[in-house]
Amino acid sequence: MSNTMVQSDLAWTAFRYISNEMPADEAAAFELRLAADQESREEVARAVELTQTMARIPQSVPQPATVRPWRQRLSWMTAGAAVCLAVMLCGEFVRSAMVGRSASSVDGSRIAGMTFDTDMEVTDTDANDADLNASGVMNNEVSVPSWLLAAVTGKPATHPDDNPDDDVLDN
Amino acid sequence: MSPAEKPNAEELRVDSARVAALYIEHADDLRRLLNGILRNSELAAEALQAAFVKAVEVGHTAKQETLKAWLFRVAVNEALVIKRRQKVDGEAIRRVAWSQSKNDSLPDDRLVRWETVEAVRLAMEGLPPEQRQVVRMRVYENKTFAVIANELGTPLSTVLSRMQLALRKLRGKLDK
Repeated sequence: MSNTMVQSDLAWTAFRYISNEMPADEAAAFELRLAADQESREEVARAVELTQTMARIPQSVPQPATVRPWRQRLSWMTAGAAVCLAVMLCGEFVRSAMVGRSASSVDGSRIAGMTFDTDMEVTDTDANDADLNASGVMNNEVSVPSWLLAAVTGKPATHPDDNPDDDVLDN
Repeated sequence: MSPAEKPNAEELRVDSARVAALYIEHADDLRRLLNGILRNSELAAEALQAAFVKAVEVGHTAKQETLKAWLFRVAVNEALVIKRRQKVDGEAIRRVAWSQSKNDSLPDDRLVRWETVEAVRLAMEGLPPEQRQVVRMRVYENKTFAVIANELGTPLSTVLSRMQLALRKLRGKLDK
């Protein structure tokens, strides 16, 4: 065993002795050793010096708190609550979006119905289609029915006064 | 040696200058040693005084090169005598030894150098959290290792090992 190891063991023994963390028989044996061994005496003095030095260190030194498990638990609970809230909000958002989409599809079918009802007036909007074709922007969308364009642009495909379902659309 | 030549007790006394030098050189370590044994600053002061009285009276019997060891041995013997006499309860003296009250600081507590405190503080900050926690609970909260092990839900051997490793690192700062 090296001298360092022996010294370390002695330092630990001295610390346990001054800390009253030693069984009575071992403490008595160590006191006999103190009466005979100068190294042990100096190690006791050193152990006291170290503990007194540590005791003088301000408590502001960052130390892991004993209540850490509680704090951790609390932070996990907070995080869990936040996640639950976020999931609920997302679910609510998705649900409202889906409701809106179904409402839009209803409107679309109504618009389609209107188109069939106003079949004769579709030709009036062909000019719009022609304009779009002329600009070349919608060349690939010539098959898009005019009622859909009307729905997208928000312009009625027919004169409102002539539309029998105008009241329904206003709703 | 004839009776006439035999020096009297007064002549055998160690001179006051030498005792003063011994005190200056070793009183701090002796006080710490005595505090470690007695865990009571007043009793430690009493033992220290008794040791130096003996040094004055019979210090001449010690060889010069072993005077320090002799003084320490005398101090330990004085402390053990006082300890037996007082039958000092372990719990009571431990409370005094670990006292952190600034109003009740141990006499040699004032002798701890600021540089040493700072060095040990930095060393404590550098300890692994689990070692630092054991040191804090033992030194600042004055909990026994058994209580610490129980509170942390850690085997006692692990707690002792952590403290031992921490002390090894911190103790090195006293040597510098």
